[in-house]
Amino acid sequence: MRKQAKGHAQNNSSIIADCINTLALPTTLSFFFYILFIKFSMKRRRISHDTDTGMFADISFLLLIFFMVVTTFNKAYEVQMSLPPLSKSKSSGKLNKQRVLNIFLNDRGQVLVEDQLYDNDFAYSLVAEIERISSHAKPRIVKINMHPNTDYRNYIMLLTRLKQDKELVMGNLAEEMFNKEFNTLHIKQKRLIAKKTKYSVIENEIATL
Amino acid sequence: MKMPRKEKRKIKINTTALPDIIFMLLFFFMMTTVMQNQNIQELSLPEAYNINSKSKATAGDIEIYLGHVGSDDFITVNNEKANFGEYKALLRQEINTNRSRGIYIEQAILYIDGNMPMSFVNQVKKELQVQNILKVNYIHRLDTES
Repeated sequence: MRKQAKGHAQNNSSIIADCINTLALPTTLSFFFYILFIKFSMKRRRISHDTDTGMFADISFLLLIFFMVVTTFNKAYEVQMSLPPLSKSKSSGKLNKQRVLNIFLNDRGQVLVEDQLYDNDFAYSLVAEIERISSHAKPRIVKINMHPNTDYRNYIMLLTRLKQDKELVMGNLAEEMFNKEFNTLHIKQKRLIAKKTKYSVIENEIATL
Repeated sequence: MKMPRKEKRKIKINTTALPDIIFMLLFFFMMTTVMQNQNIQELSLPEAYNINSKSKATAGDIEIYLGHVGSDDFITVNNEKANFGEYKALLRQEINTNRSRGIYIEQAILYIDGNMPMSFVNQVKKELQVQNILKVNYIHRLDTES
């Protein structure tokens, strides 16, 4: 009996010891990890408080320079025109044909300069025609006849072509008259040439072009 | 004899204020930059040869935009938009509003879509003549081939 009781007691103690052993390891380990975790997280938190802002300047500089280099401004150009007062806008009387440059714009983008038809590539020159009317006395007239459905782009192309070619004629005249470039002329000489090449523009809408 | 060694002094420049300066510049440019007018974005301006660069608009200028969205033609006069059919009323209203403020319009700046038919443009020009606005500026882009 005693032996049996002793054996039971031994069994119980070994179970308890086993239990302690089995429980102790995870508890100590978990405690250890808990401590480690706290320590680690505390450390991490302390590090995250100090954000290094040293590279902020580099990044913003980089952005600034990038946008400065990449930005392109959309430049616009203008054609200035003076409209006649309404009372004077109707032409009166017949015009001398030699003083008139007739240009026709149709709704298909074609241009008829005097008797020459050009397609919509606008690879034409009006220098000779402007020189022709400039050789005559005033009034010199450029008459633009257009179909109501003519695209505005064709009209503006014609206007700029006229102005550009007029500048060429003025340059040629400066060479002929004064043997100089137009830009180097005296203001009175410039005025004289401007007067010789001056023309008025008449616009006409014709539905049957 | 041992020569005394010169101490190497490290010069440190404090760059803490640099981001502030850069951000200040960035904000300055962001605030002062004027973006392209939204009215122009709706138009495809025609390309033509270079004559004059566009001059700055003044108080005596009226800005007119002609264009179309789909099949609807529109006119915008100084940011007031309407259908093209109402162009006369809109122009007169804007001119009268300016006159009541003591501003007399001398010049019209025309931003016109390249595909607009000339009959529309001529109608607007006629109305400008009626209102005695005789200076007209046609705005265009530069032809890349010229």
